Amino acid sequence: MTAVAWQTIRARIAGMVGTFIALALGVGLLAMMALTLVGTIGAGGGPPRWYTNPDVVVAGANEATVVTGHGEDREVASVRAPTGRPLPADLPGRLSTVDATVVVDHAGFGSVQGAPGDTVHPWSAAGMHAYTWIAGGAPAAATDVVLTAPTAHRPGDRITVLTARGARQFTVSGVLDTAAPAALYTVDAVAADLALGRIVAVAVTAKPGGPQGRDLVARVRAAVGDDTVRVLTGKARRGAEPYPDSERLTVAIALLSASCGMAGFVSIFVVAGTFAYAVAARRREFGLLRAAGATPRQVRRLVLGESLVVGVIAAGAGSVLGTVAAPRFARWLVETGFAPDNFTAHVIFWPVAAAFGAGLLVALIGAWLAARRAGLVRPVEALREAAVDSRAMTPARWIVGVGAIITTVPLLAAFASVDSDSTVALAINAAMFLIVALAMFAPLLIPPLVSVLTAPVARLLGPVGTLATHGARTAVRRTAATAAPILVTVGIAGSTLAGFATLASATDSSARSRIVADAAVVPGAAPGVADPTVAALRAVPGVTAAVPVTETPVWVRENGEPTDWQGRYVPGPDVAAVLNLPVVAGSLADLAGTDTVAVPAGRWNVGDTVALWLGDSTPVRLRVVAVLAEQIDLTETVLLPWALRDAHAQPLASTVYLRFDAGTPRAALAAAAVAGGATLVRTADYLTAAATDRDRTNRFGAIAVLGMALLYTGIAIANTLVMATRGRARELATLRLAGTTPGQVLRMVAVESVLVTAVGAVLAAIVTGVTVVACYRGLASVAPAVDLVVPWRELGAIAACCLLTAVVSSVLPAALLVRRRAADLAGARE
Amino acid sequence: MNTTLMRDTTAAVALCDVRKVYGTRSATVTALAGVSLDFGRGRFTAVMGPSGSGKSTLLQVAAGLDRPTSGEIHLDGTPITGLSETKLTKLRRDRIGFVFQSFNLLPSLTAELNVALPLRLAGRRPKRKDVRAVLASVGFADRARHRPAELSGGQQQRVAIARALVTRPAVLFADEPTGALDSTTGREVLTLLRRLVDGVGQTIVMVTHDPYVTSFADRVVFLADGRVAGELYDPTPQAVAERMTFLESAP
Repeated sequence: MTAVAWQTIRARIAGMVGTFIALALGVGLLAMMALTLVGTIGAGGGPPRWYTNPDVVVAGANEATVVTGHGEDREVASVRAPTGRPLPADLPGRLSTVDATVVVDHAGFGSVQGAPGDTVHPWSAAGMHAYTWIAGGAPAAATDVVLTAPTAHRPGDRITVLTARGARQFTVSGVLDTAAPAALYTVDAVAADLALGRIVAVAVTAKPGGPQGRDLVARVRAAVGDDTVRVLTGKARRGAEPYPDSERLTVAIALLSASCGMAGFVSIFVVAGTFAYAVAARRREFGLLRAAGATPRQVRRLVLGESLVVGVIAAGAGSVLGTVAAPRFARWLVETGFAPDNFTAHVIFWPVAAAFGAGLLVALIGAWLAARRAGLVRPVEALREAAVDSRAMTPARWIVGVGAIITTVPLLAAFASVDSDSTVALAINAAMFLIVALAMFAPLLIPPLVSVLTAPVARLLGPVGTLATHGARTAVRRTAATAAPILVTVGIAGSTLAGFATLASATDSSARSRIVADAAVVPGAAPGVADPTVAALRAVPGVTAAVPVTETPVWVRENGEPTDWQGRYVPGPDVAAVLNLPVVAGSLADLAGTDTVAVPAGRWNVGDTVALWLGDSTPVRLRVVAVLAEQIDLTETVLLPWALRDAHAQPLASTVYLRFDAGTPRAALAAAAVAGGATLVRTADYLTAAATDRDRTNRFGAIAVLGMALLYTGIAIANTLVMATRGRARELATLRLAGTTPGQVLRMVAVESVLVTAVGAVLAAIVTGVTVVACYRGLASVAPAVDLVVPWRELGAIAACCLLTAVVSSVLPAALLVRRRAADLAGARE
Repeated sequence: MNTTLMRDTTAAVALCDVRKVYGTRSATVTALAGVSLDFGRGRFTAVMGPSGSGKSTLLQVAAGLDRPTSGEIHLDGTPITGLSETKLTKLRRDRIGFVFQSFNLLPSLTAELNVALPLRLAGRRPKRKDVRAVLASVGFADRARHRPAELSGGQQQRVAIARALVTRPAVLFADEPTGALDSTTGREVLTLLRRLVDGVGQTIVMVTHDPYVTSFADRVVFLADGRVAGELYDPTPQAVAERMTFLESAP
């Protein structure tokens, strides 16, 4: 049998190109996404950059950890926070008992225009990493500062440094160049003062004559004596350095997971469909084989053997392709700001192997299902002209189709009750199931759809139109197979884009209703607005409220894992003046002290205790004093009391909201803002800037999730149409012999491909419509005003590309076919 | 069944009240309306009839390529009506040879492999010289490694006959084997078939609509409207043509 299989493959290489392309590109797509996603694991590692010289670094813990189960079932889930917990003030004293060089490191806020870095470190910390002088030397006076290159400042320049204690005048004493992260250096006492006393790490270096190596480490551990403080050596010293990319990495992981899911869906859809169609198209050949004496089982084995050979080669090629493409995709993510700067996709074996295996398995399943049908058909039936597909709705189609619909219904019903932040993700999942259902039921839907679509233009199209209409309606299996890639392209594009657009409109309207302040002060290049600036703003005559809000990541335990939530430090009693925060229970005026919290509705009640981790990974237990109404921009957000901020975050505000009397001179406000390195913006402008930023993020996110998948499905459209057209050689030749001119044949093929595109687009419109309505209903209860937004321009462009691809991919092969002698073709086999 | 006992059990193929109805709920076509027939061993039988008489259907049902709606069929003594698809295929593979009018051969295989196909499917590995011997016996020797697309119509039919013969079948069925050939080539193929019957005692059942072709047969069975409408032994073209005209003009 292998000789038969081998010969068949050799003779049918041209026919197998279609399935090869579908599988190779599908596996390539999957492998690329999987590799990039796996690249996020362990990102942010590497050797220390700041603490390169000290032997031991003592730093506060910086992980939020959840331990579930015990013994063998013990599972530990940890998340690394951007900064670590502060060290106790007596720690340097305790460490001084160790006979070694001990240096205390501070990292207070400090920002200067024209030089990089936003922290002020003591000069002693400069000895922890290698540096070279570009100009000048170490700071000596209390007003001296050392800057890091690149900067235009030179020793002797008088500069203004924004600090946590207000704007201060300093004199540049030197400029150094280093591979470590850029920072400002002052004399040790000044640095401690500007950091408000907060110690980030203590570095211990061995002295000649003192304990060395492991002995030193042991002594340090003994001196520290506290389990929550980390004692780090070697590569682990990197853990003492700040990790600012944690939020960006979280976003990248979410994006890549969505991309992986999308890639998996389209790959399975296209590969299964292509392999099944390719087998079904060889009905006559299998009929001959059966007539020659092949049992159904032998036909199935032949098909499986062929598919295995093609599958292995194609999946192998795809794996190579995906491996090559993954680093480029990772680089694009870095350039658009979705991933941290050092993010890259390493070549690891198991994600590629998983993509290879998954693609091959799907191909074999698709081929096997079709082979089963082909094997059971009686030889005589197979040899008859099968242009009229009387039984296109096979049991398999019914089962999968009904199953998909059954899964969609509860998903759509769940929209009303689920956490509305995942509305869009839910909608896209429901859309995927709907697409599968419609693709399965296509043979039932196509005849009425074709009639409806062509009825208005039937007379205009003439005989060509009649031929095309009848062709599309009767060769249902072919129409279904060629419309499916179009359905999936426009369908996933429509549901994803419309879902995001509707969500954006909901978020936008929420944000607009949220802010009742007259103006806002936003930081410039600095990470925040310092407290003295806030005080200065408050002092301007006419200002009735100057409310700072600081944003911070927090972690809440969900499903045994610390999950990313958003935290906002707000001065509870004052915030109602500037922000409209609807409260369903309790009162925000009680949000004071260091042990209270306001939470979103659904999980906790007033009086409950919430356990969460703050932005520096400190675990806290807070009492609920207010429950906020469910709003789209307040999901997974907690409000923290202002006093809690001092110990656990930089003394900066992310935004300052102002209310002032009508007559207040804006110039005074603007001046106060600028003095603190910030900018005054009108509320309207603030909202517009936020919306623009959100749109840009959404657009790039959509490209990241959809871009590759759409490229793949576009190629699948072309691939399927070429396969289908080439399989119609006899039919087209018969048309020629009946008197159709080559031009008419080509026009018929073109009209039919337009019809097929229209069918696919209509079905996709159903999917998009259902998704948008579901999103709308789900979001309507959590946002003041939601618009049913369908991005017509983008969808129109995508549909137009599908149309162009479809027409070109069917007319070109047909043109090649009509050039051959019709009589030869009419007697040809497929 | 009583009628079976009355039938000649040495017949190569025996049909008993076979009916075949096609179609969907809206339009049914009765191809065979109760056919009872025997085909004798070592004989060359032709089945003749106007178009639409059901002769191709009769052949396909008798050879196990299609299933009758009702009735019994015995092939080389074995009843085939209740067999599963797999068992039927194996029986067919071992004991039946079938030649269509055209498109007999798998386009992707060489002539040699096409001929060897039934044996390979049965799990046997025929020696190349045995296959070549069968090809030689049908007068096709030198282009065994070519694919069907490279052969003429007559050569393709010879290869098809060789494939039908390679398992030494009890019965060789042929559905208008010369229909697509010119008269000279057709005559050569028919002479070959006749030689097989005379030389090795091969049983052949052939369907045709051409009276000249029936002159090579020992017996002609006439079919009209799905029923047997007579038979003729040692036919001549003129006698057959007369009978046909009579059948076609009958109301």
